[in-house]
Amino acid sequence: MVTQLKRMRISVDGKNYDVTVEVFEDAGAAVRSQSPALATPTVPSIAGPSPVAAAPLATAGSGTVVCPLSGVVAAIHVQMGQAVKSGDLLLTLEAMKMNTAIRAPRAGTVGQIYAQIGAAVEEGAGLMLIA
Amino acid sequence: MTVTPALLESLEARRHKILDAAPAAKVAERHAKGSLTARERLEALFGAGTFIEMGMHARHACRDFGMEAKELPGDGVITGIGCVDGRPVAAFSQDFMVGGGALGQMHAEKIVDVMKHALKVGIPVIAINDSGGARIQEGVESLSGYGQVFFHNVLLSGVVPQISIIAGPCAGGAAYSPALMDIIIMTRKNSSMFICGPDVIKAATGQVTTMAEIGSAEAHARTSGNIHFVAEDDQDALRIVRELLSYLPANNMVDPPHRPTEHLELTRDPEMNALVPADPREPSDVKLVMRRLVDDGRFLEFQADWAGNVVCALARIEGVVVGVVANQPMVKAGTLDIDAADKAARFIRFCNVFSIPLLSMMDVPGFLPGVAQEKGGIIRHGAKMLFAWAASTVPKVTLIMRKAYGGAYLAMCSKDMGADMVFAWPTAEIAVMGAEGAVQVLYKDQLREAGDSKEKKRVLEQEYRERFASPWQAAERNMITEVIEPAQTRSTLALALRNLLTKRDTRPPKKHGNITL
Repeated sequence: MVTQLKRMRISVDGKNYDVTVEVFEDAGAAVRSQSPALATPTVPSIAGPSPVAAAPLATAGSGTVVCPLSGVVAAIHVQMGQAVKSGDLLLTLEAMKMNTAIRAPRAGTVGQIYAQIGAAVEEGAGLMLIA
Repeated sequence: MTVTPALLESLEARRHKILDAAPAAKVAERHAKGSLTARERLEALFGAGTFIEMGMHARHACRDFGMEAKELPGDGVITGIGCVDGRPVAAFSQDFMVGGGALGQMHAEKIVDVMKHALKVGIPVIAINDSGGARIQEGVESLSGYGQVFFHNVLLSGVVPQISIIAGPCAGGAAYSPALMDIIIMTRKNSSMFICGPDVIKAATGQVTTMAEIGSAEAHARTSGNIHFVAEDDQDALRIVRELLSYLPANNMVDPPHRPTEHLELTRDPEMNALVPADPREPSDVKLVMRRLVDDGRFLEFQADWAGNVVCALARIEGVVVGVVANQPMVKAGTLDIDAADKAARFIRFCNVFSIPLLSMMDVPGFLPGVAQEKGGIIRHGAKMLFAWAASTVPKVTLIMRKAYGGAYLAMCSKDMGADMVFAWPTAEIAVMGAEGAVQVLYKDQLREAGDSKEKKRVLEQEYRERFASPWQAAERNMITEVIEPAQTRSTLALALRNLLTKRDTRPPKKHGNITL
């Protein structure tokens, strides 16, 4: 399963919401989108009645490794496509004068690496995707 | 003259009617679900033959909705006194098989009676909750009953330990009685606790949720922080109760059950040195240190699945009962945040009211930076920790293992915050802030003149680290009792705790301080 992030603007009752969604390319996935032309879908096709509910998709989707506290990425220990077991060391975050080990929340394959070495990351941001 | 057989038969018949009220099929159904009956729970808690039941024959007084003819044995709750490991303990156990364990006037009166008894004689109260809620047929009598239970929970608070087990439903207002107690244990299956359930939430707000998300043991242990322990089943919940009681005094006027050994073991523990990583950035698991420090490597951790950046646990060190508050660098780099402050502050106060000495184990880089923390009121929450330490009069020992930065150093109980003795390892870094931040402030102009040279910055940071990220500045200013080798930690703390047991600390008379709730 290959996944990518896509930014979308959704209008509901004249109000705009900028959201980031994960786009799954295989069948049966939460969201399908083939072309940028589809980037302004109607709300119900995204996440049910509430437009706000669409936002967490970017970070809290299953398999997304979420950053536990703001810091700087010190090292990335895995590569795209690498198979990992639950608990494997994925990434080292440097925050508050301390290294924090980010481990795989479950077994799978590294599908995406959003984080970059030396880059600042916010608490709650997606660091990787374990597919 | 002897008592007539007819009278004895009548007594036996009355007892039989109550003790065997539950149909065997219903009992079997309960067992199949993995639940014990209300009476079986008390039998499992207390030593055989030690239980004195109170008010077995009490009857409800409801005359509405056809209730007058309805028999409700014990009015849905079994109350009394028994012995746990030889020590008297009061308990009540709600009986779901009697009218859904619903609370009416007599049910509440029985609970309040046993609580008043516990208050009078100074013994702990164990509450086993398994109730559908208020007995609607009794209307405001039922509501009044809850009010009386809550009032007595507060009256007993800080006098005798109150421990609640949630072993079935505990819904709406009923959830506030456990909440007012010291400790809540929930069984993993078969229990739920909530104010408004999924149906009410949906009707009122349209939000769709599940009991697993808002009311399960898992939800309260991991997300809400409402409970302290998750038990696998009823027996496991009672095991946790017994373990808790093994650390707790019967009331606030007696010492906790210290078991000081005649011979104080003061040997070095060289393996402790090996547990300390050489690189200050390398996090070390504080639970490994705790295990080497406490008797038999055993500690009872409170709220293990919530706010893991601080560890709160009861243990013994050379027999002396101690409440440990430790930073955990493996979670959120060991920073203090809103939840960690709430968790620690409540634990500190719990130990203080029950005369349990406190040990702070410090490895804290600071308070967690972030918009959510500031907006969420970290000032008010963090202040609870400061307040709790400063207001505690029990012996307080602080061990500074590694990081001790800024306000968080104070929030983990420095000498100034009332620690009676402070020990630091040579790896301690006691400083107002980290080198990176400090250099930015102290050498702002010099750095600008050097064209913001990275090399210059690195040199200045290194200088700062060598001079200030150590225990020596604090030790030279008499803020440290002694700088010790990690291998000496257990013996030093054992000696310190033993020598502090005679501590007396009197405070100015007042109703109570105004903690920043």
